[in-house]
Amino acid sequence: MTVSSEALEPQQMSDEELVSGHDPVRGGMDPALLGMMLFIASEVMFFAALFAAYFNAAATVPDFWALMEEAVGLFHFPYLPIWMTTILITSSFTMQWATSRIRKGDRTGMNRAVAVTLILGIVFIFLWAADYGLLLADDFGIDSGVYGTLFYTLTGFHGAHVIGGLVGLGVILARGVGGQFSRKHHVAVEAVHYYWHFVDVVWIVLVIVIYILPLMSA
Amino acid sequence: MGTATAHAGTHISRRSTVLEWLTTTDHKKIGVMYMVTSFFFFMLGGVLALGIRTELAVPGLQWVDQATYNQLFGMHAIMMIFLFVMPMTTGLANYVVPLQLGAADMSFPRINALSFWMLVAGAILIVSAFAFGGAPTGWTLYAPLSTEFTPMTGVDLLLLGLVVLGFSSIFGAINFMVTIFKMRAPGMGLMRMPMFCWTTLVTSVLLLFSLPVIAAGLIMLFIDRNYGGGFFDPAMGGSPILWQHIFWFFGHPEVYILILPAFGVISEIIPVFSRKPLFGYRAFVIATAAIGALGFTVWAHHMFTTGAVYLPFFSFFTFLIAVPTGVKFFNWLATMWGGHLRFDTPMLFAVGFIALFLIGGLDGAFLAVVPFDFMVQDTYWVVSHIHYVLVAGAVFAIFAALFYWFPKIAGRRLDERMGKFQFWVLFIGTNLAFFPQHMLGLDGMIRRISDYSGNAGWTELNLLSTIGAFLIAFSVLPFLWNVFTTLRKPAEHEADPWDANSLEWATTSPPPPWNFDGLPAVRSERPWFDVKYPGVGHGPTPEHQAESEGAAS
Amino acid sequence: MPIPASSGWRGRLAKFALIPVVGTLLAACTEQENTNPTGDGNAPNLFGETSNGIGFPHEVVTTEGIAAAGLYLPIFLIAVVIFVLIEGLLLFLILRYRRRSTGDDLPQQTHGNNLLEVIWTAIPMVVVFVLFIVSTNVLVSQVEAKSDEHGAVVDVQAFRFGWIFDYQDPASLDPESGQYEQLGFPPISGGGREGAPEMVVPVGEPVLIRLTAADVIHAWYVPAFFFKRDAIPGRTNEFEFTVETPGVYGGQCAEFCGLAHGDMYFSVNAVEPAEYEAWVAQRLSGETAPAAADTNEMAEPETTEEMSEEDA
Repeated sequence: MTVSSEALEPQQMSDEELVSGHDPVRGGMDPALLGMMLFIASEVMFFAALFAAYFNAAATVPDFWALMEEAVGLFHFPYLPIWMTTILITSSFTMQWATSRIRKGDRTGMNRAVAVTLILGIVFIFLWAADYGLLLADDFGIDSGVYGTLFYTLTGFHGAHVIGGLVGLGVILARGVGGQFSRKHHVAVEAVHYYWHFVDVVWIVLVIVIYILPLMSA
Repeated sequence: MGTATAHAGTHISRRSTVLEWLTTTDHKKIGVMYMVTSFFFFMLGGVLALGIRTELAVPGLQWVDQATYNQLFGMHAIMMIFLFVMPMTTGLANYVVPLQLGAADMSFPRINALSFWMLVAGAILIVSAFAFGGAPTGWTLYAPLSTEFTPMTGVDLLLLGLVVLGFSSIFGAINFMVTIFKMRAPGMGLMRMPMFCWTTLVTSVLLLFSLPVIAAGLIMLFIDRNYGGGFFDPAMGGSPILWQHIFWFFGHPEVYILILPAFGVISEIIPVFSRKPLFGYRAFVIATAAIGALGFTVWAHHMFTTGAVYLPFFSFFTFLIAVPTGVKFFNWLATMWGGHLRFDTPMLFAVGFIALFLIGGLDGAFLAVVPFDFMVQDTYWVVSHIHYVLVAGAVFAIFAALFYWFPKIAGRRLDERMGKFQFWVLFIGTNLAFFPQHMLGLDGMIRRISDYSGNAGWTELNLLSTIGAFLIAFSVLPFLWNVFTTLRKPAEHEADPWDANSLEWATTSPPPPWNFDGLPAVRSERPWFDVKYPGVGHGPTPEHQAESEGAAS
Repeated sequence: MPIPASSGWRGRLAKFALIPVVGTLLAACTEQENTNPTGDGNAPNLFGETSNGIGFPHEVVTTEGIAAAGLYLPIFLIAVVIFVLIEGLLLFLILRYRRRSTGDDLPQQTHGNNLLEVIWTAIPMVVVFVLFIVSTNVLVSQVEAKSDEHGAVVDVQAFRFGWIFDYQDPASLDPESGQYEQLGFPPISGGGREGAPEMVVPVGEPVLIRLTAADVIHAWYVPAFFFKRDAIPGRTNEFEFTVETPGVYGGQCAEFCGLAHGDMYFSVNAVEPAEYEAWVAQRLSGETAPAAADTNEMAEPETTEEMSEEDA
C-alpha cells in the first residue's frame, strides 16, 4: 500500500495567488475563506426571508404605500439615510484599501485603514441608534402596524450585522497591531473584508427598498 | 475478507477522561456524542408517541386532557426531527465523512465542537418548554395560533431553542462543505467520493439555504409574540399566510435534509453486501443534486388548501421530484441484481428500507394530486405518509448505519441474532402502526385530535396502530441490550469486518486519533476495494499497482 | 464469531412484549369512565353511515367531489402495479442472488448501463406528466369551476371553537362591489359536539361558500364532499359545491386551532329545493329553529384573553 504518487507537495503558485487567500496546499480558495463565503451565503438567505416578508406586505396590504409615505415623513429624510449610506460605502473603500495594503505586505497601512473603517462603522452605528431614538420619540415603533415591524426588523438586523462586523474589525485590528499578518498569511483580513462588503451591499438594498422605492412610486 | 490488512498503527489506545470528552475537537468523539445524545431523544420522543397512541387507542379521553395532548404531538415531532434524526445523521457524518475522504479531521474542528454544544444548549431550551406551559402549537407553529393564542413562555423557549439548533446546523453544514471540497485524499475527485459524502454535501447545501429562512421566521414569531409586531396579524396589516410560506420554504427542504443522509447510508450498504459497485454512480449523483434543487420548488404543496397559492406549479414540481427518487430505487435494485447478497443486519435494514420507503413515496405521489390533497390534507393519510418515510425510511437507515459502522467505532460487531430479532419486530411494528392510518385518513379522520367519534368506525384501526407503536418501542430494547452486552465483550479490532469499499475500512477499528497511518492510492469510488481486488473494478491492475509501488519506494 | 452463551434473554424479552400488548387490549375492552362522550346521542354521526369500508374513500355526494374522487381509483391501481412490480423484483433479487458459498468469488462488477438508466428515468417522467395533466384538468375544470348563479350563498366564519353560518341572498349580488346582502335572518351559529350547527342547502344547485376565520386558521372539512378549505383570518376563501344526494353530512374543523380543535363539528343538511325554500321562509318569519343549533353558549367568538387562557 502506498501513498499516492500525486504527492502532497505545495503546488507551484504565483505570488499573486499566494497572497490572495489561496489554499497553499491544494490550490483554490483558502478553506477559512470558503467557510466565510458559505456563511455569507447563509446570511443572504436570512435577509432574503426578511425582504420576502416586506414585499409580501407591500403586495397584500392595501394601504402599504400610504403607511410608508407617512413613515418616510418621519425618517428625517433625506439627511440621515444619505449620511449613513455615505459613511458605510466609504468604509467599504477603506476596508478594500486595507486588504490591498496587506496583500502588498504593508501591515502598517493595513492597520491604519482598518482603524478608519472601524471608526466609520462606529459612527454608522451611532447614526442608526440616533435614528431609532428620533423615530421612537415620534411614536413610530416596532408595533406601529406591519410597516413598523418590518422597518425595525430589517434595519435592526442589519445594524446587528454591522456590530458583528465591528467585532471582526476589532479583532483583525488588534491582531494587526500585535504584529500578526503578512503578505502570505492574512486570511482573516480577507474574510472580514468580504463580510464587510456583504454588510454594505445589504445596506444599499435596504436603502433602495425602504427609502427610494416609495419615493419612486409616490 | 480481502487479503490486505490495514496498518496496525503504533499508537497505544487508552480510555479518555471525561474532561477530554467535554473539550474534544476530534470528529470521532464529537460524532459519538451526537449519536448518543440523539438516541436518547429518540427514546424520549418515542415515549411521547406512546402517550399519543395510548390516548387514541380507543374513543374517549383516557389519560390526558386536551391541553396536555396538544403539547404532546408538537413536542413529539420537534424531538424526533430536531433532536433525533438531524443530530443522528450529523453524528454519523461527523464520524464517517472525514474517514471516507481520507482526512485527519473536519476542516474546522473547534466549530465542530461548538456545533455539538449548541445542540445541547438548544435541546435544554426546548425540553424546558414543558416546564413553562409547553408549546401547544404543533411543530408547524402556525400563526396566529402561535403568536396570539398561546402566550405561555414554553413557546418562546421552543423558538429560542430552535434558533440555536438552526445555527448549530448551519455551522455544521459549512464545516462539512469545506471539508468535502478541501480535504479529500489525493486522487479523490468529487466523482470518486463515497455516496454518503455526496448526500452529506447536498444535505449541507439544503441546510445552508433553508435554515436561515426559518431562523428569520422564528424571530418574526418572537417579535409578534413579545414586542407587538404585526408580521402575521391581519389586524395590523400582517398575513398568516406569510408564516406558512416562510415555514414551508424551510420545511420542505428539511424533509430532504432528513432523508438524503438515509439514501447515502443505503447507497453505502447495498453495494458492500451485494459485492458489486453502486449501479449508476453518476446518475445517482445527478439524482441527489436534482432532489436537492427541486426540494426548493415544491414548498406550497403543504398549502394547497389555503386557496392562496398557484396550484398547478407546485403540483407539477411535486410530481417531478418523484422521478429522481424513483431512479435511486432502480439503481439500488440494479446493484443487487447479479450480486452475491449477504443478509447481515445492516443489509436487512437496508432492504427493509427499500421495501417500505416505497410505500411512503407512493403516498406522497397521491398527495401531489391536488383534488386528492383537498380530501386528505390534515388527516391521518398525511400522518401515515410522514411516518413511512421517516420511520420505515430514516429510522431503518439509521439502524442500518449503526450496525454497519459500529465495528469501526467500537472495534466489535453487534450481535447478529439480536439485530435480526430487532429488525423483524420493528418491521412488523412499523407496518402495523402506520398502514392502518391510510384507511383512517381516507375515511376522514383528521390529525391533531385527542379523541374521535365512537360511531366513526375508526376504533379497530386505531387500536391496531397503537399496538404497532408499542411494538416499535419494544424493538428498541433488544438494541439497547445488544449495545450494552457487546461493549462489555472484549474487542476484536477487526479493521474491515464487512469486506467493504471505502477508506474508513483501510484503518484500524477504532481509528487512531489521526485517522490514517497511510492512505492507498485513490483511483475509483472504491479505493479500499481496489487495494484488495486489484484489476477487478476500476482500480489499477496488479501490474500497475506494482509499478507505482516501485516508483514510490 | 463467538456469540455469548444463551442467558434466557429471549424469554425475558418475550415477557416484556406481553405487557404493552395486554395492557392495550385491557384498556380497550374495559368500560371507561368517559369525561367526554364521543358521539353517542347529540354529536353528529359523521362518518359511519357513508363510509364505504376500509381503504376506499367515503361515499362522495357532490359533483365536484365525485370528479375528484374519481381520480383515486386509477391512481391507486397505478400505485398497486408499481408496488407489486418493485416488491416483487425485490423479493426475486433476495431469493435469486442470495450468496450460496462463502468463497471469495466476486460477481460481475457492472458499473452501469446508460440505456437502461435513460429508460427508467423517461418512463416515470411520462407517468408523472400524465398524472399531472389529468389531475390538474379535473382540478381546474370541475373541482374549482365557478358558476354564475347559486342556489344558496353562505358566509361562513370559523372561530374558536365553532361556526357561524350567515346566509346571503344569491340574487342580491352587486357586480361592482362583489358584495351580497344578507338573506334576512340572523346567522346560525354553534360549536362543540353538542352544539354543532347545521347548514341547510338545496340539493342540485351550486352553493357558494365564502369562508373566513375570526381568530386563528381553521378549516372547513366535509369528508363526504371530498373537500376542505382553510379558513384564514384576514382573508376570504370562496368555493362552491353542488350536492347530488339529499342527506345530512358531517363536517369538522381540519386545521389545528387550539384546545377544542377536535370538537369543532358542524353538518350540512342537503334537502330538496322546495324543502329548502320552506326552511328559508320559516327562518325569515322568525320561527325558531331546532334548539341545539343556535342557543349554545359558545355561539359568540370569545375575547382574546379568555381564549388564550384556555390553551394553558
